[in-house]
Amino acid sequence: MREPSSSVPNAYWRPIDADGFHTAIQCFDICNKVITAVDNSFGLATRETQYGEGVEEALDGNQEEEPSTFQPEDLSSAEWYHQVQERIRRKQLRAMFEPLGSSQNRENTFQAFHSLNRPVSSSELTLSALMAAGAHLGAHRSRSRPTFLPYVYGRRANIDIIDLDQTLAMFRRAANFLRLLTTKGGTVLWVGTEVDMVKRAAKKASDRVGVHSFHISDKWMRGIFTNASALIGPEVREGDYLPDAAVFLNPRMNLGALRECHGAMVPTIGIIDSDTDPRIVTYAIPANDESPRAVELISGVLSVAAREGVTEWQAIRAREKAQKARRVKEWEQRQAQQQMGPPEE
Amino acid sequence: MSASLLRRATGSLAPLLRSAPASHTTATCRHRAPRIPAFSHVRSGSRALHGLTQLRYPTDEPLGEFWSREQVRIVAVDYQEGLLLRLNDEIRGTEYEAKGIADTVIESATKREDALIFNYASQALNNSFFLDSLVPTSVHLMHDISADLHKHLEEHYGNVQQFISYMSAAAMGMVGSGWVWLVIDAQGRLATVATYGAGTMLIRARAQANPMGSRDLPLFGGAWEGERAGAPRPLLPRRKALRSPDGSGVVQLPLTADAANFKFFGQSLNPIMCISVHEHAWLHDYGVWGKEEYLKRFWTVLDWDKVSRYHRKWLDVIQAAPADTSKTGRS
Repeated sequence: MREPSSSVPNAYWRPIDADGFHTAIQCFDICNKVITAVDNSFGLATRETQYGEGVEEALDGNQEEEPSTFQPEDLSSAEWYHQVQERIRRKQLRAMFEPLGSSQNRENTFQAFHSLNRPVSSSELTLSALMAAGAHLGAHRSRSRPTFLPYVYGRRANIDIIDLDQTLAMFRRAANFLRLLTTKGGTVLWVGTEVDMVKRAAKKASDRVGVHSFHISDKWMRGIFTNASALIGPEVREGDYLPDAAVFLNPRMNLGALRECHGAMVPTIGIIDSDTDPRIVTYAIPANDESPRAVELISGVLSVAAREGVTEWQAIRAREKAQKARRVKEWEQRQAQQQMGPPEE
Repeated sequence: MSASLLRRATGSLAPLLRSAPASHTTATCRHRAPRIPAFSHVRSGSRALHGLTQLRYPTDEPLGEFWSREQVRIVAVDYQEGLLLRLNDEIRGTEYEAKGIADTVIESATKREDALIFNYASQALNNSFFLDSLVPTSVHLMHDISADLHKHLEEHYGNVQQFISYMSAAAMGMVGSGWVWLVIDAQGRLATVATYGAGTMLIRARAQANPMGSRDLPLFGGAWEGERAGAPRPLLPRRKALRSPDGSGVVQLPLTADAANFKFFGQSLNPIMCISVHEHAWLHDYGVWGKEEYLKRFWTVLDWDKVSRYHRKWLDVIQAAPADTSKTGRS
């Protein structure tokens, strides 16, 4: 907290907090001391108010998730309650005014978190979207893998640039494969380990598909496919415990898991960066696996494709069920008629 | 490049198949035109930016007994659209391009170089909020007022009619343009607050409500027992003179206020409804000096149902607040 500088020309324009609202506690100490506030000359870059609370707008990627209930240690309980109350109030205020003013609002414009929370269908994915997410930025040239060379567009600034034309085509192939798989009722496993954003993307993708979808984000238990009966129990040998496809969001760090999938004959999809051999997965998607936005975009769109397949599968099942019910009813009617028929003759 | 040009020319959103490729080279050459059209069902090209919202009533018909057709057009179309067009001109190519109006107001409020953007956005938001709470009818919709709001207004103003005259008086007394708001604070007290110019209720420091150095105060509920009975106004506790949030003057308390919580009096003002105090709102129908008539007739088209719903939403937020009455006296 800094005292307001004497260069503030007009007392009417008080410097205010980074998030744009007076901290309420300050308001009522002004009878005894000068109004103190954080100078907002840093604009959005200043993220912390005096209580260390981050700005919730614009810089947070997960706007549509529920806020955590974490309470920092340096706040007293009363101050924390007050902060919570203020946040709720501001949210309500924003929600009230959001649909007003103009036809353009937060709902119908692109926001940074849309690639995570609102992915498009695979047929709507564009080259420019991939490029905006940084999917074309490969690894440093010193880590360049010779077998990845067919997918490299060129080299610039000491990194390999991935050819997004091929990426888009291979991506659509992988998405179509997933869609077909889930249309037939197949299971998908999403694997994203070690890196927080990859873990989050894997979980979100799995949740989006809903049925027949699982994710591994903590640790791949070694031998879970090839040695399942020893790790889980002998009863799994009778069951159908293998997924029908596995999607790896960072295959470079899961080579053991990939080897197991290969051994168990589970087809794999993976985001392959330019320092990885694309042959380790069945369906490679050459793209940058280090950028959160690229990973979220790709996993999101893949999950939308899988979700479309699931919807189709559910529709087919519902249709078949209705047909079967109708046939059973017809058969029963015919039986009833036959029973009544012969005496009339 | 050619694909995008074609797309703009045809104006259709259907996916385009590629026409003749730019140049046929051998398969190993990487520098070639895109083989896959980068189409999208999202419209490409220039962004539309801000536009008029759909109101609940047509803007080419008179609004009850309040506004004629021309007057409705002046406020709801000419003024609003003009604000949005000018705002679009200002924000093109800036960080505000993809933001909604509320976000634009909040973020530009703190930046002096974006003052014009803030002014346009704030006026557009306030005008939209104002227009949204009107409904075309010639019948008083007072019966639509909810029981909660009715009781609340009675508590603070005596009765609803007194509240109406109080708020109209606040608007009458304003010289210059602005907005008069009915607000509710975190302790559930109702009040009438005026913002001048392009002031907004979203950001306290930009309320532009009480000019610094003057003794003007937020006009809190004026009717209390003492006043009606002719008794002198209650004195404030001597140990701590209560100042208004902006430090401009001493706040007068209605007796109905909870004395234990006066330290946090009016700390957050949440708007419920507003009146537009701009000459363009009454000039065409009532003339330059038609403010009084305008204010009288405003109450005939106010949607009390909507106002009650906003009031209810704020009561829910207040009542859902974790009740933490610790030593600091917050609740």
